[in-house]
Amino acid sequence: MKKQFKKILFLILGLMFILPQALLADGMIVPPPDYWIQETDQKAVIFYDKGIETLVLSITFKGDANDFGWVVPVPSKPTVQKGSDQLFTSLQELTTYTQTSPNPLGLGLGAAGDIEKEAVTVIETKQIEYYDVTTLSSTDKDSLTKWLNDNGYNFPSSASYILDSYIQNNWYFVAMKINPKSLGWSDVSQQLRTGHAIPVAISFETENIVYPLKISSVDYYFEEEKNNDEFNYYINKYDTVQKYLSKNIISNSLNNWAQDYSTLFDFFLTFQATLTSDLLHRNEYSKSVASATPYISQEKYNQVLDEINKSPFVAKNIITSNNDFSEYVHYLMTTNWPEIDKDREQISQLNIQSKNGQSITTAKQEIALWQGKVNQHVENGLWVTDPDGVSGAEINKLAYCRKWYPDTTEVIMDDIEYIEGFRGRGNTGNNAAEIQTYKCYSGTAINNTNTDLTNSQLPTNVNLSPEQKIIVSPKPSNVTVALYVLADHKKTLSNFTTDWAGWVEKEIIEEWAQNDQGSPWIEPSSDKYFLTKLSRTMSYSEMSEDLFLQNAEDNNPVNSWKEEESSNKEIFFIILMIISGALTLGIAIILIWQYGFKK
Amino acid sequence: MTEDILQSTAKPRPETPGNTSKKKKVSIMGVLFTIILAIVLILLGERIVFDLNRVSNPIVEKSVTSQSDYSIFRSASSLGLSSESSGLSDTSIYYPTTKKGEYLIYKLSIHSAFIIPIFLLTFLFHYLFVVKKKYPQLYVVMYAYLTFAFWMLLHLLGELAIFISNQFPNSAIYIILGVLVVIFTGLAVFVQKRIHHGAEV
Repeated sequence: MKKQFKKILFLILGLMFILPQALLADGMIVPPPDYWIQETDQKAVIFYDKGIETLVLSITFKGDANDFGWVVPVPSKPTVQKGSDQLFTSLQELTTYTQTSPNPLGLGLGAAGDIEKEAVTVIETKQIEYYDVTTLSSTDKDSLTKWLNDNGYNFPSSASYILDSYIQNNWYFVAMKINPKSLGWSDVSQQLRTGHAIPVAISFETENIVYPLKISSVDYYFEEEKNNDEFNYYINKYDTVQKYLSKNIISNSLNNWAQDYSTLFDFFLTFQATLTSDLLHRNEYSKSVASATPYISQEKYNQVLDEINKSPFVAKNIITSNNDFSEYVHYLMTTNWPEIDKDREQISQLNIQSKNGQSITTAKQEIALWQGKVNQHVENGLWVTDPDGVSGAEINKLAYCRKWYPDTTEVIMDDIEYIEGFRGRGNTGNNAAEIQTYKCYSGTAINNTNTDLTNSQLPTNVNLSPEQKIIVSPKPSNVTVALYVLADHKKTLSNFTTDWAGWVEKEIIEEWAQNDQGSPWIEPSSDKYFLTKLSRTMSYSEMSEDLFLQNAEDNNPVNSWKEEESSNKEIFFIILMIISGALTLGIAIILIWQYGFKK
Repeated sequence: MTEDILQSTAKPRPETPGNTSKKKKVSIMGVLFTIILAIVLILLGERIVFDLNRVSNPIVEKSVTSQSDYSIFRSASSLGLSSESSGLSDTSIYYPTTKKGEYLIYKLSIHSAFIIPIFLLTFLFHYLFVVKKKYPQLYVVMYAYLTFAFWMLLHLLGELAIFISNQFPNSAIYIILGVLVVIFTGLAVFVQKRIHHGAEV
């Protein structure tokens, strides 16, 4: 097999998201202060041809930031261009993975003129879509860290040694950030809100295919700094890290989540502390605003946001003998509904008792609401329609629960059940369907007051600052890294799984990577390339080294269309032709002999 | 050349009662089984030519049995692949759309490699068993094989016509008209032959 190294790659950096603090395995993403960003996974396409690597990076993220910065180190002076989502989409389809890819949009924005600062040299600045892109070189890690922070990249100083390792090897840095002017464009902000940004392709010369992973571990240090500074962390019962952020982050978080998950905005914070050997002291603080429909309008959303910001926290202090909670339980209702529901379901089923031992949670108390039909509730374990014949789904759930269960203090979304006997206005007709049900939670709070949080209301062993703090969804401890490598040979990486491997024709690659004018932005020089998909789920702490891809021992396909080499079929075809020809000839001779000579 | 008056004017020798009864000695069940056999042979032949093409056509890139996987179809589309399937198999074969002409040539060759020898072999057996009456018990069965052989031959001719029309779209009209000429010529000759034969009797 030929060993020709040809390739240059495209490096595409698919960037994404929102602000500050997440680092990408294929680079580092930084959010602005008081915002957060979570990288949910990342994908990269590496095209290597004639010694040039083109790296195209794409990550998916979630967070509350409106913009972000991104830093990618490369071993030689790079050229940066816009990538395309179609490349990732096609590759994922080919390898049977799914992906959602918003359409890229085109914006021409002003330059980010930078000048040389100390030991940092600005090689080039340019605009690509809504990115300000700066190519840097540096001779000193501290100067580079300062440059990054001065220019809004929020780089943790404790991780500057990572930059040093690149600097010592004379690597270059591609720093990108969202141009603030572009944030005024609704389509740009919408795209970022979905957790996806336009991929960027970075091309550079290199002898060996490299994937700059080490800088992604900066995220780990970034978290540590935050933890030591203004963030507090707790481990919940699912062993996921949750952060307490300042109050303004609540709004920022909601601002982004609400666009996609707008059913119910519910901030819910609970602390528990052991009072005695059999009693728990439960402090619960919540803000809750319900929205009637899952797709909220911008106007309605603003109203909800305003209402939440103005409303006080509701504090409940409950003494319970239940000891299911071995740790503190605290959560914010966010996008992760199933998990949150799981928490709440467990809470709703607790046999919570007041100080005098009176049970406050008893029989099944539920309601079911079907738009356009009369509501149902549970009586003696059976679903029954509302005899008034007019109460519909638009009614306030808490008020409706109290209609049947006066002690209800909270309505909790429950399971979807198949319920019969739903009737129309006037209790006419009879319908059945799978309907969302709600639990009517009854509790006798010992102390139920409307007040802002104060330290005096918090358990003494919870170290919170006087500022109200709330929890956002946990940051994933692991990130899935998927690499699509197009080269002249099958590639391999230690501890990575080869999900797909097979040859891909030049024409197909050109079709995948087309620019806005319909021309290929990748120009393969060979007729075909070997595509290898490598993936691994890894923690930030494992991202300690850059990845240098090696040739695999063979070019055997994996889950590829071309399972067998066509040469096998060609041999079979030739054998078939020979046998068939011989048979035909033999039979023809016999026929001639029978019809002709014998006659 | 002198004409053999005796031979040309001689009346056909009356067939013996024994010969006549032997020709018509065909049971209804035998005919029924022959019809079933013909159908089974046709199904078998169709499956064989499909599988032969699947395993020996060098243009075929992938055979997919699990058609429930929707992603396979999406992948095929993104790769510019066309598919071909058979009602007798749950397997689909995929080949590059850009190589359709080449694929059809290989397919035609592979099918010919099976059908032509089968047709000739059947014709030979028919000659031996029916015309020569070497094995009278195979008389009825041979009609099933003949039906099968002609079916496969028509299949091949149909594919040939499709290939030609695909490669040379303007030739389609010639193919259709040519087939019609052959059919009506045959029918005309057949009808005239019947009339002529009836008049002689």
